[in-house]
Amino acid sequence: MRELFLLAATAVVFAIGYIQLGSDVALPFFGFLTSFGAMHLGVRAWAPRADPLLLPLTALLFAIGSMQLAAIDGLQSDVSSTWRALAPLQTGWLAFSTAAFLGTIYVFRKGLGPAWRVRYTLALLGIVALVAPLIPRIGYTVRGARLWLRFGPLSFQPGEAAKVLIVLFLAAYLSERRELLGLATRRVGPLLLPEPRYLAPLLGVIGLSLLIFVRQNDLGSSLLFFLTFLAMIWIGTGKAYYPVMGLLLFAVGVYVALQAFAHVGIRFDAWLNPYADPERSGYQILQGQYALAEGGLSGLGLGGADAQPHLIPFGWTDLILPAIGHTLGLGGLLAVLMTFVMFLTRTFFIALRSRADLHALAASGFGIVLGVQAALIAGGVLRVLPLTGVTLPFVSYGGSSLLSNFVILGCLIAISNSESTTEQQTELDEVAA
Amino acid sequence: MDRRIRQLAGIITFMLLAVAASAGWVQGIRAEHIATYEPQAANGDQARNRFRIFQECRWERGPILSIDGQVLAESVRNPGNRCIYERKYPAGDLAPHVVGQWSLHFGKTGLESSYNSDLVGEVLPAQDFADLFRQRPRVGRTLVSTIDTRLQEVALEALADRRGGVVALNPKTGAVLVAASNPSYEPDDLADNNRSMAVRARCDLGIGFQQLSDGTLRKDSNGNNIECENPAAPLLSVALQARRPPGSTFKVVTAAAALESGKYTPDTPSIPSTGSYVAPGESQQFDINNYGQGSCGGSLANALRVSCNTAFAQVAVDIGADRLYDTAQAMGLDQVGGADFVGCEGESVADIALTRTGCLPQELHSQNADGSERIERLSTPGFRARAGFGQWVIQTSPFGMAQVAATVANGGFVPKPRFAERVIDRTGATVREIRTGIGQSAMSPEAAGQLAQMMRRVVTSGTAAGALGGFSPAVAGKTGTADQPSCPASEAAAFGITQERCRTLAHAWFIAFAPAEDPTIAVAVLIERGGGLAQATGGRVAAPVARQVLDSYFKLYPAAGEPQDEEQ
Repeated sequence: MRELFLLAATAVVFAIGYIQLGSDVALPFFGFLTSFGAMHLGVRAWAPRADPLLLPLTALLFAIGSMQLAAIDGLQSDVSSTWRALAPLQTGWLAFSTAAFLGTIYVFRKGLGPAWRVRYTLALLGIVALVAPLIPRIGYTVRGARLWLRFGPLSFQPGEAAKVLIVLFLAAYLSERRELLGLATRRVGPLLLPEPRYLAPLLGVIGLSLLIFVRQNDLGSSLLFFLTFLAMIWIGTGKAYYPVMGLLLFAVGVYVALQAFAHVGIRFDAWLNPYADPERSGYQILQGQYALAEGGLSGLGLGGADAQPHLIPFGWTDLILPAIGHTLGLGGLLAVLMTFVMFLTRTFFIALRSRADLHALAASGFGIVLGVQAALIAGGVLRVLPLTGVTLPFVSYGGSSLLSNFVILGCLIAISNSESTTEQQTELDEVAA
Repeated sequence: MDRRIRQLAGIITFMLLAVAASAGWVQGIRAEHIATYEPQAANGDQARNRFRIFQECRWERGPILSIDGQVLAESVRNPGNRCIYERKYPAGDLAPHVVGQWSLHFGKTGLESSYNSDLVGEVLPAQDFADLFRQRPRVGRTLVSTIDTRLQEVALEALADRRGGVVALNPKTGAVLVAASNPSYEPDDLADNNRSMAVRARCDLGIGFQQLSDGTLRKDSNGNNIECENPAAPLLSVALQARRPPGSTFKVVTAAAALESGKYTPDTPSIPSTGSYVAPGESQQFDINNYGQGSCGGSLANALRVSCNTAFAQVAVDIGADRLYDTAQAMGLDQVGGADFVGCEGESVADIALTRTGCLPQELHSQNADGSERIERLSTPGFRARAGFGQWVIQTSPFGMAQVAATVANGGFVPKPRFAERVIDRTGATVREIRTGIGQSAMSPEAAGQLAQMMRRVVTSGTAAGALGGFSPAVAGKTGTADQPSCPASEAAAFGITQERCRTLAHAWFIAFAPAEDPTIAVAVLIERGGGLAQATGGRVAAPVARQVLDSYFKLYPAAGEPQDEEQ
């Protein structure tokens, strides 16, 4: 009941926003109602004891993002004849995501046991997902099968799927081996290390994903994977030398990247002084800053003639936070940030409440992925960190990221449900044994 | 494990709170500063707040008037394109470089940029409670420029169809009365709210890429974008940005350095008279000759009067590189674009950013034909000898040379040039007078007085006697004829002549101030490639232009020609 009430509240927010925009409210609004209604029913059916806050918080984030997309659509259609409206497309992606979410909570209705059983398959799939875009010829031959991905603004990022797969694999692997990994038996110089055979698969997975992302010039995702890996292995083993060694490696990596990849150095310079190259490397940061500053405390409004969110470069994906600050003001921006803080608090609370290591590790892993991703892009646009191109989960436009984030939401809801049902605990313990 | 999960949750929450704090800074505490901070980067690009300009076109921006009351820029109602107002420039091509443009698409330049906050004006008070949460419109203030359109017109007519620039300023106040450039351009289309119209207008002026009528970019056969071209480059102001050798007008700077060195007075010592001078360490083939191959020398005053190259070459070698460089710097010749000019890193001090005075560099870095680096140093006597009479690699604009004349006129104090006079609010009350104050001293008042008398003799019995000898009130000045044997294809195209012909043409210069006793106006004229070396002397080509401007000035401001105690 609590969940339904909160969902209704977000629906009201959504409707008000759309009416203010003066755009056609029917498709996005009823799409939103149907999708979240279906998700709510799915939760009632397969995860009745799940955390009642996660779904409404997600709905709020999605609603705010969808309003920004509609605002940008309205302005872009005035100036560009080739612009394809994003808000209806995002509504379509939400429908797919709903199916993925329902599938996830159904499969995991008794916990993450099924994922544990296929953990190495997950790792393999994750790697394949990461490698796929790197092979141009294969990409070309499978073009027929993926043609729909290349229509208009639609594109599929397999890296988004890899995010879910690899967190699940790490959780499964660590829940099984964390004792061993925590056992340092080898002395290499001043360092005590566990047996190489326990460490190798982990280092392999992460080394590969790092390599792929550096090759794809996707620094944001590379960083996201790296930090998630470090955090999860630290949570699992409790050995400080993992994050310490990792951060040392990271420092070396940053240094090498600064030397080897011009785009990393440019990004660094643009972070420190975007005014030095305002039309190229500093362009995104500066326009984001200007958009935010113009928004002020109360924002320039969603409709009306004052707000110009369509002028923000990538204001519908990476730089959607400046669009929110521009139209809804500091108030709107803080509301989004606080929604994230609440969402993450609930996620880590689920992890803390979990008795099964697998669940605790998976929930905290998902919390880390979403939290680090939100912090990377939010910190990037507000110049707390260098700007790296990642989307804001649940808010930014993008089918593949929406899809994988709703799978993550499904996992979290499934975990919270199974951890508050005592009788299912025994089954999971058997699986883990 | 629980403890570590809590710690991680804490770290991520802390990150998001740091972002929230930063948002409070950007959107709250420093919002107005960040929104209006649009610096120009070292690479020449301007940071532009594309959001504010869409706000600004919904507010009635203040007009820009000339000192004689003509409308140079105004906002007219023309709703559309999410705007209510459009910017118009009724004075057309009279002074577009100074006034600048307000463009929805390309940002702001000139006075429109420098005095933007005045022109945007203040926020109207809230009418009701809801207004407190809305973006309220603003009403702009009026900016009065120092430009006198009557004199500006006289200067442009005197230039006629010749490429050149005229700058006239008040040496005491720094107020620039004339900044006339040919070629010029019509700014209205450039400032059009309609994007394709504005892009086309800008392309006609040589900036950006060519577009087809449907707004897409035009491609060549290789599929590359085609750059817009305009060989005349009218967006560049000859008066304010030209980079030309100053020729003999630079002898005023060399003479100032000589007088300041203590080694020279106007009458002593006597500089050896010669028709050919070879600097120490130079080979015979690089000898320096005088105009008309004559022989000259004698006192410093006489050398300036007859514009004696060999004498000033000897003076420059004698006083040393540091003295010459320091004096040129002190007189404001410290700005030129490009890192290859060492010792020229000065920035525009005027209230519009585009001005470049020019510079005498310490070193010039260039490339030899084989790609190796070539460095020419002012400390080399052979180069310094040429610098002494304004050749070598010195680059100046009429704006910079007018400042040199004004410095001599002003007792050695360098004026701080400005293009704006005052800001007026809606009720007609003056909000503030724009005053830049007295600049630094480049030479002692005694030396400046001596140099002024020497420049007076140039007009009474020297190279400018023909053009201004009998002019009343008394004028002091210096002619210049600058040789520039390199003429790239792009430059020849700007003149519409062949490169061979272009190389033979010299630049005609004239700098002056009047009345000689108590100057109220300093002038600099440059006619680019004014004619063959034999005909295009500054005295014959450039001085008559200055004469017309001075003539009109003293007719329009008769009091300025009378002896006076106070600036009117």
